[in-house]
Amino acid sequence: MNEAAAGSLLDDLFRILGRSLEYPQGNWPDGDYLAWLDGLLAELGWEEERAELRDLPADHVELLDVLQIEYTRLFINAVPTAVAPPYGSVHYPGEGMLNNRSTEKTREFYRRHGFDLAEESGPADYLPLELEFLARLAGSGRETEAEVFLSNYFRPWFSAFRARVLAGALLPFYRILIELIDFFTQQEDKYEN
Amino acid sequence: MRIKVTRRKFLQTASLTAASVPLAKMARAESSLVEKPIAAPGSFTATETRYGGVCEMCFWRCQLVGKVRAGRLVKLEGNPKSIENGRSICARGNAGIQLLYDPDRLKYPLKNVGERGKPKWKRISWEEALDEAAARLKAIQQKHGPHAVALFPHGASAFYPLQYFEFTGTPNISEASFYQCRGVRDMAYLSTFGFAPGEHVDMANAKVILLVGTHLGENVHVSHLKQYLKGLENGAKLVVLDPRFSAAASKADIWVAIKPGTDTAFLQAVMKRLIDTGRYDKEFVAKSCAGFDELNGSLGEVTPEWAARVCDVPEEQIIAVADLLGTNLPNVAIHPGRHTTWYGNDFQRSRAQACLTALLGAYGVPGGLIRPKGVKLGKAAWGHGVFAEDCDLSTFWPFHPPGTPTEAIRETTLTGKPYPIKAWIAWSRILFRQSPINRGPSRPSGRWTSSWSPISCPWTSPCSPTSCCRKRATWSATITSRPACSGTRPTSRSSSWLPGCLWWSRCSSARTRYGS
Repeated sequence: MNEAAAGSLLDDLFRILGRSLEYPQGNWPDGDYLAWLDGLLAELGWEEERAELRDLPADHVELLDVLQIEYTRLFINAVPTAVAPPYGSVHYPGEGMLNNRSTEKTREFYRRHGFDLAEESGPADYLPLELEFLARLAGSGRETEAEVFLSNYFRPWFSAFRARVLAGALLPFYRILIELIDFFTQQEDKYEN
Repeated sequence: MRIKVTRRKFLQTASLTAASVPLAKMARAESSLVEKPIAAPGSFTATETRYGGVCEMCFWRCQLVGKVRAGRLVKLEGNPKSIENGRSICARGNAGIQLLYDPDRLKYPLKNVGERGKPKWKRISWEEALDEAAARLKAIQQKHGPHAVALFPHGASAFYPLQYFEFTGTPNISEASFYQCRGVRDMAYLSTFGFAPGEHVDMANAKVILLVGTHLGENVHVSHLKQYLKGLENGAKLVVLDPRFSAAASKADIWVAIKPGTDTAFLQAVMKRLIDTGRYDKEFVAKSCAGFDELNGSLGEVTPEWAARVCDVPEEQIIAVADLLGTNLPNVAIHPGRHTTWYGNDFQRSRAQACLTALLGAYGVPGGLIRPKGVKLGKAAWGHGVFAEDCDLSTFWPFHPPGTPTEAIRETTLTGKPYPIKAWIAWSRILFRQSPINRGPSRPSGRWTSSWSPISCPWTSPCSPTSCCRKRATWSATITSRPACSGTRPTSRSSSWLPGCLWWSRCSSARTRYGS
C-alpha cells in the first residue's frame, strides 16, 4: 500500500473510531459495522478480542441498550463518578477538570493548522474530535503535523484515559475500541520494521 | 494470542479498503471540526468580559462578570457595576469555575433503566425526560390528588420549581436544610417580632455590633461582609460571643470567650442589667412592645454574677457589654445570625436576641434591625396554590416553621396515611444524611431515583425574561438579568425553563414546544 492509500485508510479508521466513541443511538452499531470491526481485528490478529465481540447481544435493540448503559457509566455520569470522561484535560497531568489549559492549547493547535471548532461543539479535547482532527491530517498527508499532535497533545492524556477504561469497562466493546485507538495512535520509530 | 503487528506494518499490508468501511452509515449531518484560514501563533489570546452572571456558589447571589478566552471561562470576578458586592467575590465564588467544569457534573438527563436501588443509568433526550416526568406526575396527581407529589427544594435555583409545584396543588414542600440552618432563628423572630429577620441588620450605620456565634470574615456573603467592615470603619464597637478566637473575635472590642451552649444565660443577664439600670428604650418598649412585665419577671433571679458562673466568663465583662449596648441604643446591630441550629436550646437563644433587640429599640433605625422590601415579579411568577385543608400535613405539628416538616412527608410516604404520597422530587438536594429521610444506613438517594435532569450551572444560564435573580438586602433591592457568562453551550437547562416546559408538557401534545 502506498503512502497516499495508507493515509486514506488512516483517515477512515480515525473517523470511524472517533464516531464509535460518540453516544450510541439510532441504527448504529449495526451488523455491517460489527462485521467491519471483526474484519479489522482479524487482520490485526486480535483473536481474543474477536471472540469477546461475538458475546455481544445479536439483537440490535438489546445491543443498543447495553451499549448506552455502558457508555453512560464510562463516559457521561455515574455514581460515584464516571469511569473516564472522554476529554483530554480531565486526564492531562496537573489538570483534572473539563475545559482546562490543555483544552485551549489543543484548540490553538487546530487553528494554527487551518481548523476550528464548529459552533456549539464541545471542548476541543473531546476524544472523537481529536480523532477527527487526526483523520483530516492523515487524509491530507500531513504526517509530521499528526506526529506533533500525537506526541504533544494526544498521548500525554490518552494513556491515563486508556488505563481507566481498561480497569473500569464491564463490556469488551469500548475496551477494544480504546485498544484500537491506542494501537493506531502509537508513535513508532520511523526505521522500525 | 495477539500476533505482534505494528501500525506501520499493518498499514503497509492491510487489505481493508475504504470502500469496505461503514463510514456512510455513521456520518453525522454536521462535523464538529470546520476548516478555517490558518491563524498565526499568539492570535488567540483575547479575553472577553461577559456581564450579567449571578453567583450561586451560595444563596447570596453576588453579581459577576465572566472572563472568557477561546470559549473557555477562565475567571469569575465581581461585577464592578454591582451596588452590592462590586468587584469583590469570595473564595468560594472564585472556585465557581470548578462547578462548571467538574467532570462529574450532570451533563444530560439520565434515566434509571435498572432496578430501584440497583440503578443502571442511560442518557436520554430532554424531550423524553420532560415527557416522562410530566406523564408520570400527571398520572399520580390524577389518581391520588395533587398533594401526592412532594418536593424537596434547596438553593436559589429552587425558586421557580417551588412556585410551580405549589401552583399545581401540593402543599408537601419541605426545605429540610432550613431546619438545620435558620429555622430556629426564623421561628424565634416570628414569635417575637412577627417576621423572619434574614440577616438584615444595618451594621454599616451601627454604633455597636453584637455577634452571637457569628463569625463574619470566615465565610461568604460579600455584600454583608462589606456592611460589617463599613461599620467597623465608621467606628462601631464590636462585641463577639464565641468560644473560639474567630476572625471576628480578632477584631472585637470585647471578645466574650463563652462556654458553648450558654449564650442565652449571657443574654438574659445583659437584659436584666439593662432593665435594672434603666438603660433600655423605654419609649419604644411602651409604644411598640407587649409583655415587658412578663419578660422582666422571668429575669427575676438572673444576675451578672449568676451568668458569669454559667457562662464561665468574668462578671465584669457581662456588665461591660450591657453598659456598652445601653449607652449606644438604639443604633445597635444585634445580628440574628445564620446557621443557628447548634445545641438544641437555640430557639430560646434566638428569642433572647430578638427580645434584646426590642429592649434597645434597635428596630427600623440606623444601625438596627431592618425589614426591607423585596422586588415583586408580577406576572413572571406563578400564582399561589390552593390546597384542601385536610391535605395539609403540617397541621399535625402545631408549632412548626413554614412549609411541611420533612418527617411528616416521610411518615406519610411510608404509611400512606392520611393519604398516599407517590412521587418525590429532589431539587438541588441530595436526600442523603442531610435529613432523616432514609431509614437505616444512609443511602445516596440517587439509587432510588427514576431520572435526573441537569439544571444549569449558574454561569451558563441562558437569558430569558424570567431567568432573573431577585435580591433583597438591608437598604436595597435588586433584580438582575442573568445571561450566560461562560463560553460553553450547556446541555443543562435553567431553573426557570424546566418548570415552564414541565407545565407545557403536561398541557400540550405539540412536539415542537421545546424549541422556543
